[in-house]
Amino acid sequence: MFSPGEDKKYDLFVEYVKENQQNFYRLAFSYVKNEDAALDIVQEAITKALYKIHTLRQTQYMKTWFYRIIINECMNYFRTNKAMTEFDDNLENLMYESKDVSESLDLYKAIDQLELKLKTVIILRFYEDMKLQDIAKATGTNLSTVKSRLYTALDRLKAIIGEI
Amino acid sequence: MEEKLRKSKEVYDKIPIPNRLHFVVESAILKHESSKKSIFYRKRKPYLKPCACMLVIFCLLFVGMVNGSPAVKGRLLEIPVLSGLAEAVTFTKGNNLEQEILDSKNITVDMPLLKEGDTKTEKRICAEISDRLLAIIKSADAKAGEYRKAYVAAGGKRDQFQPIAVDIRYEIKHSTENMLSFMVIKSETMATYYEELHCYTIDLRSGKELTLEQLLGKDYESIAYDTIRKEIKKREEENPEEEYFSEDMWEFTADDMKFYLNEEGKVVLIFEKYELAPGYMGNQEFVVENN
Repeated sequence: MFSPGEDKKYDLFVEYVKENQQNFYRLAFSYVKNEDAALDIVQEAITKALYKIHTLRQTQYMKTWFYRIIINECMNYFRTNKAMTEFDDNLENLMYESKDVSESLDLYKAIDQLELKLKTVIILRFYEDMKLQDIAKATGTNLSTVKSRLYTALDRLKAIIGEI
Repeated sequence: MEEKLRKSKEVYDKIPIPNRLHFVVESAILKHESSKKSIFYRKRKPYLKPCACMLVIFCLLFVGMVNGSPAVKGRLLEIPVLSGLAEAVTFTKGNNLEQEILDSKNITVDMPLLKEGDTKTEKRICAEISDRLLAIIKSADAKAGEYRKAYVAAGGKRDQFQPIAVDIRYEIKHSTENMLSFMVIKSETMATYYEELHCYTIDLRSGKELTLEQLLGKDYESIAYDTIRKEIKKREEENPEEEYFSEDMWEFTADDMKFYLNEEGKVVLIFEKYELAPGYMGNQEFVVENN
């Protein structure tokens, strides 16, 4: 059985998951670009996290701890589904509604061309507003690795969209 | 560039969120909670131990929900030979529960029916089994009620809720004059599909349920763990894409392990999805060779 502390941690986590489910979905979707696959990943990640909630030592690291699980699930997905995914047309259609987002859309697509490690850093930094230190925790690396990946990613993106 | 990236977050934020997300999240949580609470997940209490004999096979075919949902009764009556028996089955208890299920708009049930036996032992067996099956259904109904609440909370119309289909089946894994081993599989289908396994191996001479220790001897723990470790290593080497959970994530003891006897009478350890490996790898079975 859970100790009272474990119970509290469990409840906090369930609350956190319910409140932030849309973020998890967006994160997963931005990797796999497929609704069913992204839902599967969210579900797997939650299930896995609940099973090993005892490995979360401090609740303040809940986010980075859980993001790490989601990202691992996304990587698992690519390991088992070799074919890379197509860009989601729906999203593109949605975006045509406002013209001034075309630059943003190009950039968003450019991120897709990055290798997974670089893409992860960009998404977490700019779309999930995470600190570099937290990104290091969520990706199981250290701060200097995150920094170097971030700079590499920025360089690549500049090259892709042709900005000097 | 960094400024542009920050701006491009608007694209990310517009990723459409499917309505199903809410259900997927709720069901992942509920699934976990119910597996923690389920009477079958805990170590079985002695008084809950089923005792059974060969007749279990026939019992499993019969009693149970005859007074229950019309769908179940209908299915049985379609088989002419069985219809007489079905009428003969009466429940001394559980009628209220069945009425509850009948009235429930949360689930529809499909399950094998049990015939109440003639001898004292047979009756006991049937009572044990039908209690179990009804307990399974009751917990499924309660859980479905939760889903329904979530559905309504998410803006769905109460009467448009699609009842969850609960399906109960069993597999005889091993049967000789003295020994019977079978598995009950409960599955639920909604947006996602869940399965739950319950295994029973019974010494027909004594009517007692056998434990791993009785089958494998006093070293059963090390035998079981060694089998799993060795086999996982082998499977991971053969198929590097299939990665099992590391040992510190195992949440069971040797006494929690589910098992059945295969046709050769060997113990087979069975683990459900997520117990040992990511869900997509399915249930994992390990044959213990040295018994």
